[in-house]
Formats: sequence, structure tokens, C-alpha cells
Amino acid sequence: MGWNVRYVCRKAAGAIVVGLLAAVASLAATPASAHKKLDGLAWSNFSYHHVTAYNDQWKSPMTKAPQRWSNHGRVALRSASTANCNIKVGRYSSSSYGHYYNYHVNGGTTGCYITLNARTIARKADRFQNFVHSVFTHELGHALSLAHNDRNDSIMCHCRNRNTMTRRQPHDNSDVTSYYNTGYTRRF
Amino acid sequence: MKRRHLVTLAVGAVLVLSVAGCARGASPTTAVAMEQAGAREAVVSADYPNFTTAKDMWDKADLVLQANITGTRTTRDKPSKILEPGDEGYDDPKANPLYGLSAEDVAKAKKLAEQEAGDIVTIAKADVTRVFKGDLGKGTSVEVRQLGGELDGETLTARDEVKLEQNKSYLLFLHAWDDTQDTTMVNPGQGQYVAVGPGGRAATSASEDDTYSPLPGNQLQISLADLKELAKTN
Repeated sequence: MGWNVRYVCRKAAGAIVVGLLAAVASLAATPASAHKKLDGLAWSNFSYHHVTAYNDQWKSPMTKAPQRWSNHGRVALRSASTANCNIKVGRYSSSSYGHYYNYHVNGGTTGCYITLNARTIARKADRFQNFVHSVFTHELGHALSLAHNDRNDSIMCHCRNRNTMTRRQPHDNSDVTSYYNTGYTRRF
Repeated sequence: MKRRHLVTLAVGAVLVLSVAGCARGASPTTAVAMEQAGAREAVVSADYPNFTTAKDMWDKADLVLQANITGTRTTRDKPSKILEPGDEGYDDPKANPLYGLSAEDVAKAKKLAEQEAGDIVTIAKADVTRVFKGDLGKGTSVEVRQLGGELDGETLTARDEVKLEQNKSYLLFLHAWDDTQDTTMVNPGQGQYVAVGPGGRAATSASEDDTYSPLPGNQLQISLADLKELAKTN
């Protein structure tokens, strides 16, 4: 009977260890591989340029979003008149709130272009500046190689509440750290 | 030796200046920037509203209809519109990011807009076979605009779009635009369902046995009975 108890305990302990290892392995594998976006920029220290001026309603969130991304240890975004990524707020006949475009220049260098749609944002936002901040942070996330996902704890989810989730989330931070793990250069 | 260094410096300076000049001259709009930079391919991702229930999506749609796709074409979309005095939303700083700016800043934005070319879009002609919501008659047709396509050797690939296919039948949740006289889906992943008739054939003529299959990743299931119930709330 004593042997049976020890045997059962050993088996149970083994099963727990195997289960824990599997859980750790899946947690470690999920962030970097699941949301990788090949259309992001190769560097996390890119420059951006607002192609028009904005009034005060727009200026604050359009300034804060890149600044807050830059607080991430692997990210450095700077405003420059000649930039890797151009930014525009316009009025488009589309249901979307924002777009991220990625294109190739001179056979290799990647540039990007981000648009925000004032037409839909103004109509849908309950907390306007939060909403703008959320959309711009999301689009900058694409430039940092983050793809859409279905997690409600990520700025990259269509499902997020744009009136309340304005900043990058721990899951997004972890993905960016993983993608740009050799300084400012993309790993994949 | 010194002369060689001077020549190297001069060539280097010319290269740096020409690259800087190119960068300064690059247009800030997608299509024009692509053209000036020699880019022929671009990829686009978009942030769309997400719907958690079919009722929610129904409420946000102007049109809900079943239709057969009878043709597609690609073209350039209209570029962003700058609001003028008298336009709806002109004096709303949220709807008009240029409202309240100096005349010089507005003039710069207008000049930029003149250079802007719209995105490549694919337009599908949808012949309506059944209307669940909206002021449309059976037998009419609508144009459904989807982001992306190939035009004049340029390709814009839209990550979120699944293009409507000719000779297939769909259930569509659409937003109607007064200014472009066409429609777009309320969400490209959630706003289209493949309509299947009896025996698994395309539901080219509306039938009481039609079923609707969502795109992969869309959790919102919907049936003809659901649609008829929702239509009672109009």
C-alpha cells in the first residue's frame, strides 16, 4: 500500500512537471510567433513626419502616441521633416479608423505611410482624444511589426475599446522586445 | 593623394545631397510617394470596428442585402476630402483636423491634397436578389468598393480584405456613402457571408433554404430566420 502511494505520488508529480513545462513552452512561444507581421519596418528607431498641421483636438494625441511608444526600451521614434514614415489625418469614405501602408523603395528600403480617418473617428468616439491616441498607437504598432490579433489585452486587437485603451499593453511590449532583440534591427 | 581625397569628398557630398533632395521631394501621399520612389507594390492593414453580435452589426449597417456579383474592376479611390466652409462638419474641430489652423497651414494642406492620388480599389457590381435592410429594390444593383487590387502595373495588397468573387452570391452588411455613390462593408472580415442555396450551389436566386457562411475567423453566425427577425426591428 505504501509503495502504491509513493508510486502514485511520483506519477502525479511527473504529470505536473510535464504540464508545467508544456504551459511554459506554450507561453514562451505564443507572443513572438503568433503576431509577427512581416510588413513592419526593419528598424524600431524610425523617423516620422506629420504632413499637415492639426488643430488642438488632434495635436495632443498625435504627439503623445509616438512619444509613448518611444518609452519602450527598444523603440526610438523621432519627428523629422524627411522621414521613414509619413502621417496624415484625412477624411475618407471608409468604415475604417486608420490605415498602415508599407512599401518598398529603391529595391529594398521599406517606407511606411499612416492615415487616420477623421470622418469615422469623429462620429464614433465617445472620448475623442483617447480614441485618436488608440488608433495612432495601433498603426504605429504595425510599423513595429505587430500584426492584428484577437486578444482583448492588446492594442492590436480590433476588439479593444478605443475610448479607454490608448497605450501599448504588456503583451505588445513583449512582442516588440522579441522582434527587435538585436538592438533596433528586426530579428526576422 | 590629397586630390583623390577631395574627389571622394566631392562625390560623397553630391550623393548625400541628391539622396536628401530625393527624400525632401518625396510626396507625402501613398500613391504619389510610391510612384516617385519607384515602388510598385504596397501592403495595407486597416483598423476597423469590430462587432460582437449580429444585431450590433445590423444596427451599424445602412444596407443588408443578398446579391450576386456580376463583375469586378479596379480603379483609383477618391483622395481625402478637405472640408470647405458650408460643408457639414467644417467648423467641428474633431471632424475637421484643419479647422482653426492658420491660412498658411490650410493652404499647404490643400496644395498637398491636389497632388494626392487615391488608393487602388476593387469595385464589385452586386445585383440585389433580396433586401433585408435599406431602401433598395430587388433587381437593382450596388457597387461594393474594397481596398486593394492591381492597376497599371501597381499592386496594393489589403491584408484584411477577402475579395468578392464574380458569379458568387453573398449576404452583405454595407455602409452607403453619399459622396462616392457606392458602398463599403462595415467590416471586411465580418460584413460578408457566402450565400449557399439548396444542394450547396451558389444562391443566385433567393430561396427560403439559403444559408450564410461567415469568413474564417468571423464568429458571428447568422441565418435567414435571424435576418427576418432583425428586419422586424427596422
